[in-house]
Amino acid sequence: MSHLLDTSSYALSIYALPTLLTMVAIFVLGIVALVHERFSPVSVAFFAITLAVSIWLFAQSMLFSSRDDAVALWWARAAYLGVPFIASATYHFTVVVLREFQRFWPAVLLGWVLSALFSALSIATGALFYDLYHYPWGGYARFQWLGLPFIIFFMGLLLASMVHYWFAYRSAPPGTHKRRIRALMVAFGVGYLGALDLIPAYGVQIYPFGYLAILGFVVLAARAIFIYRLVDITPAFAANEIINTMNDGLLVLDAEGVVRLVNQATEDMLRRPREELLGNPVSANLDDPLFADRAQFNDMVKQGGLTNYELNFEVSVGDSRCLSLSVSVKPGRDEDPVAIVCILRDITRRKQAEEQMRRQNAYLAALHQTSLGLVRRLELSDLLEAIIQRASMLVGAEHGYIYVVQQGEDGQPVLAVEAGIGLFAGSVGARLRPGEGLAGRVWQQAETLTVGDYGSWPGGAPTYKEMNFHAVIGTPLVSGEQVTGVLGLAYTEEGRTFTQGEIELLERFAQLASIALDNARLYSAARIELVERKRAEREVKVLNRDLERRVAERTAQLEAAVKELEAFSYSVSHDLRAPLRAVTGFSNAVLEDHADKLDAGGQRYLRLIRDSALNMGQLIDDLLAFSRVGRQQMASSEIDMTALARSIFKEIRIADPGRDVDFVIARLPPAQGDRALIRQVFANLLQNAVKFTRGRDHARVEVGFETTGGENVYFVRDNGAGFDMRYAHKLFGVFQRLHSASEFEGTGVGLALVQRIISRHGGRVWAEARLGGGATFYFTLPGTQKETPGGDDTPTEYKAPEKKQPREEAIIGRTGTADTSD
Amino acid sequence: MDAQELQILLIEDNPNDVELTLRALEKHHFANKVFVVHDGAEALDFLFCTGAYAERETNIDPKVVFLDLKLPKVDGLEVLRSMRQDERTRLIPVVMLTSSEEEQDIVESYQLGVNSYIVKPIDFENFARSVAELGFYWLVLNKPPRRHAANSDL
Repeated sequence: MSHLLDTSSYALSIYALPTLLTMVAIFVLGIVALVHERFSPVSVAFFAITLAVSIWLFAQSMLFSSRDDAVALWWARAAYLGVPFIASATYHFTVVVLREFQRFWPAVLLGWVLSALFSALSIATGALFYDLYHYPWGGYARFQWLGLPFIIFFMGLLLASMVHYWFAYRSAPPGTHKRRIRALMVAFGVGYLGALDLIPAYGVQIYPFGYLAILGFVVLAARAIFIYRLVDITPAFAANEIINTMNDGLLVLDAEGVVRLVNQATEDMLRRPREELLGNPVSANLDDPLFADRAQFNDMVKQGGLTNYELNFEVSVGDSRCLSLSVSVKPGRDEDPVAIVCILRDITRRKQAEEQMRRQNAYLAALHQTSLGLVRRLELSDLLEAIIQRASMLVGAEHGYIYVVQQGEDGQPVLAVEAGIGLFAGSVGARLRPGEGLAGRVWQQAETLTVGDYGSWPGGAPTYKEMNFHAVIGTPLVSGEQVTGVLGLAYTEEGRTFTQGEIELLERFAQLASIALDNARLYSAARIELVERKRAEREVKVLNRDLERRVAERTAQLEAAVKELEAFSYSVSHDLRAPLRAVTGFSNAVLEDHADKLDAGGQRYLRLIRDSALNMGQLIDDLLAFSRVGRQQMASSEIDMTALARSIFKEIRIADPGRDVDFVIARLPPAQGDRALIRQVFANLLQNAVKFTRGRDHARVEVGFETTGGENVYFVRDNGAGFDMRYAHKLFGVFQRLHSASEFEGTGVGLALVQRIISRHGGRVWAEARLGGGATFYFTLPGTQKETPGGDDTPTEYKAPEKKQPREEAIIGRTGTADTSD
Repeated sequence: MDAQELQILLIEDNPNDVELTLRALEKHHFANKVFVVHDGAEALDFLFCTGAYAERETNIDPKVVFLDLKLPKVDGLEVLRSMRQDERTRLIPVVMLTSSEEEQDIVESYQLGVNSYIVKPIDFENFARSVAELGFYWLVLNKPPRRHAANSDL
C-alpha cells in the first residue's frame, strides 16, 4: 500500500489529463448546482452523479498514471468506488426529476444497496478485478466473473431510467415539463455512451472515450436544468422578469441622456423597437421629445430628485397618447448623475375617464341648477330662459333657442320662439309650421336632428342663413307622448360640429328640461286652481256664516213660535174649556131646575146648546192631543204589538159594552217606537173600526200584518161603512171627514193624529176601502226588525201556525159576551 | 162660617166654575162645608192666616184643598209649593181640579206633592159626578193625619 503514496509509482501520462480535467469540471458543476439549488433533492441527486463520476474519472486518471501494476490495479478497483454509484445516482436523479420518488423509492434504495455491494466486492475481493490489461494508454482492469452481473445491473438501471423518461415524456402535456424531459433524455442518451469504457475491460483495445460522453451528458443536463428552471430564481432573474412584465414603461438613461435600458412596456408605449432606442440619445429617436428640450433635461439632471409630469405624446399621426412621467435622477459620488430612471405610464384612458367624469359633473351641475331653477322660478318664461342658458353652458355653444308649441291664430298649432340666447336673442316670437326649418322637422319627427352646415342646407330659413350659423342642433321637449317644444343650439365657428357626446348630453338635458317645464306648467295650473279654491272656500265660509246666522235667526223665530203655540194651547186647554163647561153646566142647571117653565122646544134648544158645547170641547181636546204629538219627546222601546192591540180591545169593550163585535188578532211581530204614541194609533184605528161597523149584523174587526218589500206592514181591517177611494187623499187631513156627523160622530182629528205619529216614527200610513165594503188601514214602523212570528215570511196574515204555537186567531173577545179566552 | 165646619177649601177664580162646583157639592150636601177663595194670594193668606185672614183661627185646617192651576196673582203650582214647604200645611191633601191636560202640569204637580189630579170634564153631568165623588172620597172615606200629631212627629 505504501506504493500508493510513493510518487515514484506514478508517471504523468498524457492520457490521464483529459479525464482529470473532465473530472474537475464535472465536480465543480455538481458543487455549483448544489449551492444554487440550495440542496434541493434534484441538486443533491445531481451532485451524487457528479461525485460518482468524479471518483471514477479521478481513479482512472491515477490508473493511467501508475507505473506499478499493483498500484494500477488498486486504482482500477478504486474507480469502482464511483462507477456503480453512477447508475444508482442516475436512477435516483431521474425519479426525483420526474417527481416519482414517492412511488419508486424502494427501487432507488435497492439500486443504492446493489451499487454499494458491487463497490465493496470490487475493493475487498477479486471477484470483479484481480489483474490488468496493458494497453498503449496504460493499464486497464480486467473483468472477472462478476463483470457480467455488474454490466447487467449497470445497464439495467440506466435502461430503467430511460424507460421512466420515456413514459413521462409520453404522458406529459406539451409545455416546459415535456421539453425538459426531452432535453434530459438527450443528455442521458449521450451519457450512456460512457458505457463504452466497459469494453476494454474485456480485453478489446478501444480507448475509453467515456469521459467525453459523460462530459457531454453533464453539460446537456446542466443546460436542461438551467433553461427549464431547475435552478433557483435569482433576484436578478426576478428583477429582469419584473422589468419586462410590468405595465409601466421603464427607460433608464445615463448622464449623457443615452438610453441604456428599456422594457417591453416602453416599446409598446412609444411604438419604437428596443434596438432603435438602446444606445442612442433619447431625443434623437423621438419626434416628440419626452424631455421638451436639452436645456430642460439638463436642469432636471442638475436638480436631481424626483420629477413628475404629464405630456401628450404623438406616437403616430392622429394617435396622441397621454403619458405620465416619473423621472428620478440617481446621483453618483461626485454629484454627477449616474442614471436617470424614467417610469412611463399611459394615462390616456384615465384622462378620458376624467373628461367623461367632468362632463358628467357638468351635466349634474346643470341638472341641479335647473332643478333649483324650477323650484325658484314660478314663471314659465323665467324657467325657459334658465333652460337655454344652462344648455348653452353645458355644451359650450354660444347660440341657443327654445321653441314652444302654441295655438296659432287660425287654431292650428305653431312653434314660436319663447327664449333665445346669442344670435337667437332677437328671434323671440318667430314662428314655424310643422316640418318647416330644422325645429319644424324636429317637432314633426319628434327626434333630435343636426345640420352640419346650415348655410348650404336647403331646408334652412333665410333669416338664420344670414346669421352664418354653421352647425345647428334641435332636440324635442316632450310631455308624455306629445312634443311640446324644441330646444336647440348652434355654432357659428367654421368646421365645428356637434359630437355624439354633445348630442347625447343635450338630449338628456332636454328630457330634464321637459320635466321641469311640465312641472312649471302644472305648478302654475295648480296655483291658479288653489287661488280659485281659496276664493271659493272664502265664499263658502261667508255663505255658511250667513246661513248659520239665518238658521239661528229662524231657529229663534221658530222657538218663539213654538213657545207662543204652547202658550196658546195651554190657554186653549184651560181658558176655552171653562166657558164651555159653564155653557153645559148652566144649560143643565136650567133643564134640571127650571124645566117646568120651558116648553118642549125651549128644552130642546138648551140640549142643542149643551151638545154643541160638548162637541166643541171634544174638538179642543183632539186638537190639543194632535199638537202634543208634534211637541212631545219620543221614548223609543220595543213594543209587544199583540199585547198592545189586545189591551185596547179590552178597553173598548169595557167602554162600550153594548156593542157586539168580533175581534180577531193575529200574532204581530214586535215594533220599535214610543209606546204611548203607538197605543194612541191602535186606539184611534180600533175606535174608528168599531165606530164604522156600527149597524153591521156581524161586525168584525181584525188586526194583522203582512210583509211586503221587506218591511212589516200592520193593518186594522173592518167590515164597516168603508169610504169612496176617490176621497182617500182627504182621509188623514185635520178636521177632514168623509162621513157626516149625523151618520158617524167625530172631529176629524183621529186619523190626522195617526198619520202624525206614524210619520214621526218614519213610517207610512195608508188605507184601502170600498164604499160600504169595509176599510183597511195599513201602517209601517221602520225601526221594526223584519221578523215574522214562527219565522214564516209569508206576507199574509198568520193563518197556518205550527203546532207548537197555539192558534192565536181565536176570537179574543166578543163584546157583550163573556170573555173566556184570557 | 163656623171654623169647625170647614171641610173643603176651593181655590178657583172662575165664578162659573165656583158656582157649578158648589152646585154639584150642594146636591150631595157638602156645600155648606166649602170655603172659596178666588186667587192664589188670597189662598195663601187664608192658609197661613195672614192678611185678611190674620184673625182666622190657626189650628183649623181644611180636610182637602181643591186647587185650580191657573189663578190670578199666584198660580196653583206656586200655592202648592208654598203649602208643601210649610210645616203647617205640608200634610193637607191637595187635589188639582183643572182644565189642563198638559203632561208637564201633571208631572210638576205630582213632583210638588199633589195628592190627586183631576181634569174637569166639560160635560156638566160628568163634572158634577166627579166633584161629588171627590167630596165623598176626601171628606168621608179618606182619613187625614191629625195636625197636632203630625207636628209633634216633626
